[in-house]
Amino acid sequence: MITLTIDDQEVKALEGSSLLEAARENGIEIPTLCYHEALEPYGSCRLCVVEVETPRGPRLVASCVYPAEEGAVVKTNSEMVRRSRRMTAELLLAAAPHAKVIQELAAEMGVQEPRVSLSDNDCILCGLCVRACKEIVGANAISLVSRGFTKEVSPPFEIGSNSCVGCTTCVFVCPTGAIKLEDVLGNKSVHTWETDFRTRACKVCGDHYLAPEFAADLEKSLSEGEA
Amino acid sequence: MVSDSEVRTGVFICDCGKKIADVVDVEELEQEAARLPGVCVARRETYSCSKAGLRDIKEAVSEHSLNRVVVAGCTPRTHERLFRTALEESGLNGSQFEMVNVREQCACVHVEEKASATRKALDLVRMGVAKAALLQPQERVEVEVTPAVLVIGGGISGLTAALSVARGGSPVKLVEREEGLGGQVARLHTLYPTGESAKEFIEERIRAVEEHAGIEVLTRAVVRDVDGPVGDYRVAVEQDGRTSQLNVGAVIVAVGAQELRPADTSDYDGLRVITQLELEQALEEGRVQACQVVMILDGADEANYSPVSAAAALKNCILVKRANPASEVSFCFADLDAGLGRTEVKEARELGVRFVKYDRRQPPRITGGVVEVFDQLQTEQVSLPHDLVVLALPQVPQDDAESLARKFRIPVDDRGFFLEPNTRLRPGTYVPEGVFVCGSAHYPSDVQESVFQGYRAAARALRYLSEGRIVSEGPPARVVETLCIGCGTCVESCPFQAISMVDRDGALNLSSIDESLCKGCGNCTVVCPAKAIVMEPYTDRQLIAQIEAVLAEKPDGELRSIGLMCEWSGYAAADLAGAEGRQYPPQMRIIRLGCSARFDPYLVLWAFLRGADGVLLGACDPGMCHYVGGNERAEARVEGLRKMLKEAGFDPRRLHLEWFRPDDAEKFVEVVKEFTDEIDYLGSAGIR
Repeated sequence: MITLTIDDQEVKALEGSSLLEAARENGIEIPTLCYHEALEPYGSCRLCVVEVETPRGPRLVASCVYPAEEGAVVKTNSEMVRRSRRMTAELLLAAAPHAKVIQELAAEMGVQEPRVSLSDNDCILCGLCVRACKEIVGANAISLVSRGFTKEVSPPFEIGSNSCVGCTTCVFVCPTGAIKLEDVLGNKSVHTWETDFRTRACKVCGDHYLAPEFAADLEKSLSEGEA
Repeated sequence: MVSDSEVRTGVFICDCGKKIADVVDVEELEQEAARLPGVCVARRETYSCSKAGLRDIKEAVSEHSLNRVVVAGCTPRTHERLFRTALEESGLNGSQFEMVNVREQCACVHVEEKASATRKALDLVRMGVAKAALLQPQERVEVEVTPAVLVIGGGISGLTAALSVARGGSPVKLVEREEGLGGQVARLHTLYPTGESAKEFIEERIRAVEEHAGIEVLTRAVVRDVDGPVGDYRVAVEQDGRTSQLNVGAVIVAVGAQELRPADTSDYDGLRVITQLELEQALEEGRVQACQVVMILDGADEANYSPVSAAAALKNCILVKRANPASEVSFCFADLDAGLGRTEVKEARELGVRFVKYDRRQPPRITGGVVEVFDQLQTEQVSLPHDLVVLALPQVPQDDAESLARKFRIPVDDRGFFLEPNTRLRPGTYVPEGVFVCGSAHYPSDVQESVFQGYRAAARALRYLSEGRIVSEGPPARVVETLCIGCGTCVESCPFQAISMVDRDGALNLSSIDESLCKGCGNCTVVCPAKAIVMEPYTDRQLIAQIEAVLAEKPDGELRSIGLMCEWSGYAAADLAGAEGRQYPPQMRIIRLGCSARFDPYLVLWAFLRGADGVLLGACDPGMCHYVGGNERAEARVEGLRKMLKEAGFDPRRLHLEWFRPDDAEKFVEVVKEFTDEIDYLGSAGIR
């Protein structure tokens, strides 16, 4: 057992715990979206930042991945923490404007309207679904693909995943309700016979169907033939 | 260790911070749990799943010599593994653990009805403790995966797969039926759409395969028999009359497809009327001198249309026309798909290939010197003079595909092509088969796609081998030999053909369940007339104990319904309803089942006889069952049962089966509301 100070309270924690775990076990709640007890911590939502005293002054760290150390002095609700959290909440609100949990969170932090708008899908890229699929289910059906603005959760090659067992653990753990089962299972498959093409009825025979692109081409070629 | 006969249960009630404690009276839960039979210790924790919480559970296990653990917290679907791992560290068998979902089923969904939520939580804990007492320790079955891969078929996809598995470091046995490797590609002239020489392309790969030390090539060899458990297949391969046995962990099926043989009624003669493969051969040998070529894309059977044949036919039209611009090339088709390269269609047209679309009911007729066909594009009958007719026939499965599919238990589609074994089963504990399919064996594929699929199959096989061993949690279903009457009903009803009859000296034959094939749907436990098959953790005794635990404490004047929920549909939807905080009435108590195939009419009757006022069954959408049609079996059983109930004068509305999608929390809530209203309207069933 180690002893540390969180919000002026002396608390005990198991060695190897993170600051977040140490706080939770002692009844101190730290807001977080990407932490899940059954999964390895990931540190992506940045809501759980806390202030830690270091020899070089106070520092902000993500408590879910920062180890609890003997004698550490931690503040979970200082002005510095609140400022950072407010900014994070604002950005999260911009990323997931329809998610109830984030709206509530933002309201709590005093954020009314985000100054930017990032997307219309509510995924905050916390990776919970990806980690749950890997660590709990063991199916590895989805992953985080691409980098930067285009980063998203997707099955490999953006086609319906064969590895998906259809358990909906991803849907269940998603904090914002952004992932749906169809996103993973998908409508398309590598089986090309199942690939959907947009089709349109042929004007000549009525009962046969052509893709619009092909039909236009055919029309052009036919009119050339007549002329 | 305490003897197994004595049940020593520990109940741990999780506050989940305040999520559970805010709604459910956890102190009452703790006191009540401590009074339940077999419970040695009942304790509250802030977070049972935290490091400290898990440590407390482990300490309690050794301190009180517990042999059963019940955690009342959140859903087992996310947290079960966490607790099981912890219990195994403390020396307890992980299967002697039961999770009671008071967060998603009480605290989140009955926020305004705290008293009812607490009563429901009490019931759920009682059910959990009653079930835990009956849990038997499960042995784990571990199979070492043999680090070798068998590739069946030496065509382009097989070669690609073999090569990339070998480069990944696993030994490969490549079995080819023919004299030489290369498959269909070796018989082609040029490749579509790149135009490179097929011969050079395939020979380079054949050389690479033959030179690779890790690949053993067996030509003129066929697979005769497959035996052994998953992960350690023993495949008998016959080569030149001798049969040898190969031990492999994974199998890649790349047997390809074949060109449909021309029907006897066609005018195929191999000289003036040839097939497309023969044209490729002729092109390769440079002996196509024909000046009037008619290419007929076979369209007799719409279902058999293969885009690859169409693309190849188009490509060959272009090649012939290019080689001899003076020649007349016609391309007759009934149907072309949009997947066909537009540039190729354009190029063909610019070169002067004549496109003739015919009605599939009036296929072109080949007579002496002309092909008679009704051109739908020009709406007139045309006669195409020819000195060469090429029949572009669709690709169909190999002749031996069916027998191979049976040997490896690979499902096939309605045309006879292989489907990848893809049973969506229990997360984490399901056993993958280690059989992968690639190339045209899957469906007619072009070279590019076959290569891609070869890589994909190789990657999956390598990942499968890299696991080292497969761990599955014991044979899900087990035959109690002293009860089995040898009737064989289970053998017929098993959707996975996992059950067979075995001879026993001088007595009845007995059922035997192959543990590597059994998926644990529980269908056999329902159909067995002697109830001789038990399936942990959903045995009859356990389920009945759960039902009894609810109904024994049923207060007078209150209505109770039981929800038997398949964990892939109703249970998952209930979890999601909790996560989304949707509210519904608290009368129902949910019992988790593996599959709706486990809906035993006896269980339903038992529940009614013990005083249940309604039973709601939750199954997956038709066609969505994870265990092959379990939900449809359930529907048939429920129909029968409802009729029976009606005849007995019992209102069949009290029994309701509903389809759920696992992510449809809204429907779940609606259905539970409606069902509860219905039961409220009907009132007490009046039994007991």
